Amino acid sequence: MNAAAALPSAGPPVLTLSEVGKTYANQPTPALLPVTATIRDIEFVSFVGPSGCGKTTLLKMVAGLIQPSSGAIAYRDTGQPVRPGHYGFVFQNAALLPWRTALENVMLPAVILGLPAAAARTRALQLLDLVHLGRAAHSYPSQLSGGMQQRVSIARALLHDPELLFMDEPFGALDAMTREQLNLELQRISLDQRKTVVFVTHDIEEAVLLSDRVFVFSRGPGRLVDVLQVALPRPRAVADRGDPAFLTAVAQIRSLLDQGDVRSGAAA
Amino acid sequence: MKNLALSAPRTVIPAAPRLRHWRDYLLSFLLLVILLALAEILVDTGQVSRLVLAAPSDIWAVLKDGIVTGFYTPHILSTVSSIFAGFLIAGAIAVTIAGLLASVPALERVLTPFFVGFQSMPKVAVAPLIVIWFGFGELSKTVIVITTCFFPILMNALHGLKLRDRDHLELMRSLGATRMQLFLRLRLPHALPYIFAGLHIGAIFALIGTVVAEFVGADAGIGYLILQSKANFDIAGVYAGLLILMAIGVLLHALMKQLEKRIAFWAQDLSQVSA
Repeated sequence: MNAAAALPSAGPPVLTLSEVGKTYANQPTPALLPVTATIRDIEFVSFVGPSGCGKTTLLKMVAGLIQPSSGAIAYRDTGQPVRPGHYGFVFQNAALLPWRTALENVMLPAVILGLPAAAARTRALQLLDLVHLGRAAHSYPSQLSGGMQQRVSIARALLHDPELLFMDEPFGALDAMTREQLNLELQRISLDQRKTVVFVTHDIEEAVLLSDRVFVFSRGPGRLVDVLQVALPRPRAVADRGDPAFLTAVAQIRSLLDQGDVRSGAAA
Repeated sequence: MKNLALSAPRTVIPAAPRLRHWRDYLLSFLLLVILLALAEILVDTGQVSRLVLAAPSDIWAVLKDGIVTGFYTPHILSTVSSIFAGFLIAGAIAVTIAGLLASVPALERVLTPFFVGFQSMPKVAVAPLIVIWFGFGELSKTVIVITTCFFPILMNALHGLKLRDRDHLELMRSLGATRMQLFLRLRLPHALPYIFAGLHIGAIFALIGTVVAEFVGADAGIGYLILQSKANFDIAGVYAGLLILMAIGVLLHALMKQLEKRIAFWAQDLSQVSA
């Protein structure tokens, strides 16, 4: 069931998941059946599946925001989960603090982690430039569009230069054009800054465009169905959407999702 | 939002209508002039007894005289200082207790029935008891004001300190924020608009509390002056007192609105709800 396909010719594992599952106390069926997998250095991994398939639960367990009810997550060779403050997390709805300007929001990790303020300010301004929001540094979130807010939250996740970036459907609430633009920006940033990214989405094409590997989930109960390697070199361009390898990957994932749905439909 | 509405008094301050034109101002002013002239005529021609309605000209004369001679000064000071003393003390205690209750949920659960009970009781009804405890004078007045404006501030602060946005909480946890950082960087700023909405209501309540206190047990203040004028059949004096209270109320409201705008600038819609 858990096809933990080892990736040939990739770096050392950053995250090792062994039999990580979740059952909520007040629910009869598990939210996620045990998952075993490895995520490697500078890899871009997507979790794809319908809502209720446990993809967000798994992401939050990997980040330590939810306690797994079984199994273990190890960061590198520490044998421990990744510590708070050592990763950046991007939420679906930006989660900016409305009383802070864009710049102050980006600087939040420095405030919480106690990093030097002057250096953090300089870096925050650079990051806002990186996401093309240099001019909006002193705007409040309510003055920014949804896409701009999400850019700010990406800059915030990068401020403390974490090697891991966890993203929970970050572009789900945006329109298609803004989304594509941000996809390409995220690809550029993650490659330039050599981040390991775990990206949750329900958009198959988005997952294929961005990822080295796509983890396909199904629901009823939530489970990892398969892991697919996207056979296209990164970075990818919008035009790659027409590439046979791209189309094959999309079709494969779609059929995996359909099978999952049929199976869960039979079970229910 | 629901809580805010619950604790909000019946003092509905109308939201500014869209694009008020100069013609509207002119018409409002004309209406005022007509009403005043009507009152003047009704009293002058003896249609309405001078014991019921005072002629606007008489009220103006009393008001001007009282202000020019400095007769009102100590009374206005007494009323205003009692409002502010009671309001500030109540605000400090209420916000502190709200912070405490928010960090110890068990305590809040135990005390909630008491709050509901006290909140449902009209606080001004306690005024006579407070006068028995603390005697006539400023102390009683301040205590009465504290009791009237304490609960709206407490309930709003409590409401604001409860976080509803799970993402914000998880964001803080993802950065490894301590409890203190969580409170200072997230809970408190998140609660500020609610606290200020509560203070806004509290300030209006403080005015009501002060006047009640001056009715039941004081030797100075505009409320006391109104009672005195009534006892002397000085109807113009009663109306003059009411006008002064109105002016104090309008100024308080404007002051609180400015404060809210500056300190809780990111949530201006909230004060609309509460006010």
